[in-house]
Amino acid sequence: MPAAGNEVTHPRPTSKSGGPLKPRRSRLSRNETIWGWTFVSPWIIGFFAFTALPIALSAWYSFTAYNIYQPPRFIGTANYTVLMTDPLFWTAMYNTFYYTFISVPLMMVIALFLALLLNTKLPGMGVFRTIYFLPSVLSGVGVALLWMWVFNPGSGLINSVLEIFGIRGPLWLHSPEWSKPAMIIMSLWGVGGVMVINLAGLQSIPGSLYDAAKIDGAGWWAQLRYVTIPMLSPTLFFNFITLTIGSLQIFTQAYVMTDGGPVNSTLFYVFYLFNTAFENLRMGYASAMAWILFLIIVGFSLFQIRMSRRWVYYEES
Amino acid sequence: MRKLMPARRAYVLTVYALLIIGSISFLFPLLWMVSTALKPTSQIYAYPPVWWPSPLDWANFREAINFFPFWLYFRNSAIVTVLVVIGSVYSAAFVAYGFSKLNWKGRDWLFFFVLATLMIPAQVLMIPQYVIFTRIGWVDTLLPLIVPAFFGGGAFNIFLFRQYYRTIPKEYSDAARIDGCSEFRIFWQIVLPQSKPAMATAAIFAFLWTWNDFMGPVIYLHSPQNFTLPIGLRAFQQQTGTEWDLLMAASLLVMLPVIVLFFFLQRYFVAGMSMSGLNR
Amino acid sequence: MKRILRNLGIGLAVSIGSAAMAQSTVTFWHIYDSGDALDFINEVVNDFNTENPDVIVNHLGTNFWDYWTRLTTAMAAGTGPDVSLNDLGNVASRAAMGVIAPLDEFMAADGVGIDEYWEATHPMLQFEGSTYALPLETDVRALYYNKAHFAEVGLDPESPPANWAELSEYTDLLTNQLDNGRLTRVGFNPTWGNLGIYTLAWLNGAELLDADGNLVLNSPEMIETLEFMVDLQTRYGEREVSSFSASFGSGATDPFMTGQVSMIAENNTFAAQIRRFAPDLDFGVAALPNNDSPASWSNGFSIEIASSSTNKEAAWRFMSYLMSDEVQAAYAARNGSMVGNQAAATAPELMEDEVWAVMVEQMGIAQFRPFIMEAPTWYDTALQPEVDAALLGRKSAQQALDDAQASLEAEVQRYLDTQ
Repeated sequence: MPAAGNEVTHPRPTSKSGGPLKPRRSRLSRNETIWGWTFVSPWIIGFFAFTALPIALSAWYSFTAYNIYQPPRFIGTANYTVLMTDPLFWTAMYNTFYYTFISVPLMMVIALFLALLLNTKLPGMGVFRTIYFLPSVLSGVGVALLWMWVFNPGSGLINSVLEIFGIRGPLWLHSPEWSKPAMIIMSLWGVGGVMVINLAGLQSIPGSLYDAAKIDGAGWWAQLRYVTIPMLSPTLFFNFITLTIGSLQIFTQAYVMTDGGPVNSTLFYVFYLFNTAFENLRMGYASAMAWILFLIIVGFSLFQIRMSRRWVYYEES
Repeated sequence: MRKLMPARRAYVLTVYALLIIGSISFLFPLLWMVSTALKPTSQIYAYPPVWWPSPLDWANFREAINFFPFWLYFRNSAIVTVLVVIGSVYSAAFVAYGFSKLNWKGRDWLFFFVLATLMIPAQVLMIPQYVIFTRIGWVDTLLPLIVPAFFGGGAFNIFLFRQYYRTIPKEYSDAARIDGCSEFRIFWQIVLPQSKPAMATAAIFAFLWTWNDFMGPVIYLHSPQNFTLPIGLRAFQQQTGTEWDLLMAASLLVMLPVIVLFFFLQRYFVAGMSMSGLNR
Repeated sequence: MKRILRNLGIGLAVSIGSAAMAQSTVTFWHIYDSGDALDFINEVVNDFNTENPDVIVNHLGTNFWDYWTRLTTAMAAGTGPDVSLNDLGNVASRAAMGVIAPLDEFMAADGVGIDEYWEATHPMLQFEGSTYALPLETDVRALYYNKAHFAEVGLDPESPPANWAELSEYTDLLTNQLDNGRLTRVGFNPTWGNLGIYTLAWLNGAELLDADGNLVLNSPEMIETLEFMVDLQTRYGEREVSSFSASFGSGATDPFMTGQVSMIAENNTFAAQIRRFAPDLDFGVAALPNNDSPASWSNGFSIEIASSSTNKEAAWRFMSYLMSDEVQAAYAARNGSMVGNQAAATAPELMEDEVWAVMVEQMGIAQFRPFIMEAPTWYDTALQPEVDAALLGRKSAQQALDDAQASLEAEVQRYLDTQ
């Protein structure tokens, strides 16, 4: 029997009467289907065991009044219609979008810049890479408290440094205008993680491409634009999607540092959701909020995936 | 030292200058942590801020370790984290292979579905998931924190590997198929070894998240002998205020394993270490 | 070998013996996860277990920040503790949902009456005529003032301000402002410490609940109160005051302890903190100055029995042990906590401390924030953002409170519409 991969070199088989056989899915493609499902089966099993039911339940809860302790009671689309009239819902949405659409592009640019800088073979790069990665290692409540001190208007780090330059720093977390910028700056310190992913992606770019470009007379900008970015585009796409999904769900900072204030300026969407669910015990309302966010993110991601066909280059396709 | 051409020298100097300036701003908060960890309590909020405390209060570290059962929690954290890292990295690499190197109907829709699971805020899934684990009797064990990692390792990691795999030209796996290799062998012996940067990255992130995760341990662990380090760190934050010096000392200690791991895994995403097999 | 057999024999006898005694377990969850508070609870539980061999109490302390998430998820899955500590301010919500068990029968059988506990807590403990919780500990606020500062500016250190006019006047005398506007000391500011606009409103004679039991946030007394707060906030320049306050620390660097603030409203545990971090500070404690009637704000922790508990009798025995005179007195002495048991809180040894005596007096006139089922955290959601806005000068006090009232009513309506 010829091996599967050799089919292309053989003439098409014909039926007994001499006409062409009806085209059948080749063995290769059936095999691939079986293999495909085999490889993804661990995820599917895990999904049905641990995630499917909770997701389905949360969708169900969004159509109920559910205070966690008593069984949920069906109320139709009331949660959704009332959410539309809830000013805090719109405030939370605005705050979250503001934060996301400023911090994500900034993070992407800085992370790319740093990865390019740190990808050189100069001595000491290992130390620098660790330094830039360090802030991402810190997490949890203790770090949020640390940043509160950094942004302290009187004796904090940032304003002390500004004072050296003769600038009187704003009230940061105590000011409705500056609280979100403070959180954006705080998020930028975590750029090390994104940088690391970029570094990994840069490894898959063959050096020969750069050599060829240099021979053609390309300077650093052309190399960046025609070699690095296209070859790195799968990684950049990954970062863009995951950063956006993550930023739209920002929570801990509001929970630990500002309690949503001042004047609700840091009332982020998931923070409002959490309070609604666990402080006010309105899990149905919170579930509706979760599903609205879900639909927004899904819509955004689908759009980005469609757009990605134009600028993301996959070596294998 | 080799003599450098002027252009090259300018380039090198610029790179170092930029990196150093950036480093200072990135390091500041950490230096403050170290400084606070070494401060006697009276100097914590002094104004102007004290950068170099005197005397250096090394006792803070000892006090921090004795504040809660540090080594017991460390052991639990280590068990959970190591297992989760192994489970996440290998199962994500495995699952992602199915989403990238093989062509089959419904593949991309299913992948988007996987990605979509990242888009639901975990807060609304917490309680139903907790109920599931209660029904199978896993509450107050480390199992709910470990087992799910072996089933794909999370959409983030699957996505990471998939993107990385797709930068590997198809010729490698095609050639192996022609030679009669099973898909599993292609995955294990050709694709995976070329994915060390992705593996290192996934390992670091899995380690980081699990090591620092407190929500999972808080709701699933009810006996102090199972507690993990993040729960221990909470002990410094009381209603009456935070023991800053001890918290910073403990946080530094808790951070160390991650930093060490990162430093050693770095070489996997540095030029030259990831090649294997065929010419590129 | 003989010893091994003998030990085995003893072990066997003991296990058979204890099985025969039919021990039941009671789980108790609380927020004391470290330090003295945890040591105290350990002792209390051990004493109870020893004195009651047929019951074993297993307790778990969770950090305050995480306690509520842990408790809620466990109770949602039906695996919550038999006895739990909870927020004294919203007992009614759990009672209404049937999550906690009524205690009237147990109390009657043991001859325990609700009058054993501070009157301020009574509305919080009861729901529709039945008692559902007992007040494990409460707190109360008073005015702490720096006697040295008073003497320095020519005020009598033994006469703290008794009303708002004096409060305002003394604040001016005590505040130091440099020529460039920077503040180095402020006499008093109602947004610092542990006060809340509602406390000031009570001091101004405001009733937060109207005749029908609805919450009213924009009564004339409330508006007047907010105007008073805005005045004190802007008197020295709003930005200067915000800057000054944003740099406050806690613990040893609390602004009162460092002398940055001369008068501050704080709770009863603050005195112990002062003694610990600033032992040389010469301070006095007095009732909060009022503009109409004396008042203070109280809050606290309850202990409750889960209605899903299968061991309610034993749970009650443990609860009444926690609330007994001896244990409560020890708790007050050890932790400086204003316990719910009045007899224990007013024990002579405790009353010798003049700060404590003042606090006990305040408990007599204290109030709890009203609980509104439809807007359980109304003070955070409807009120605080508007108060912030007024203090920042963005709205007049009248406008801010009218908006707060509208916001509250909208929130209540949203709740009702999603039932």
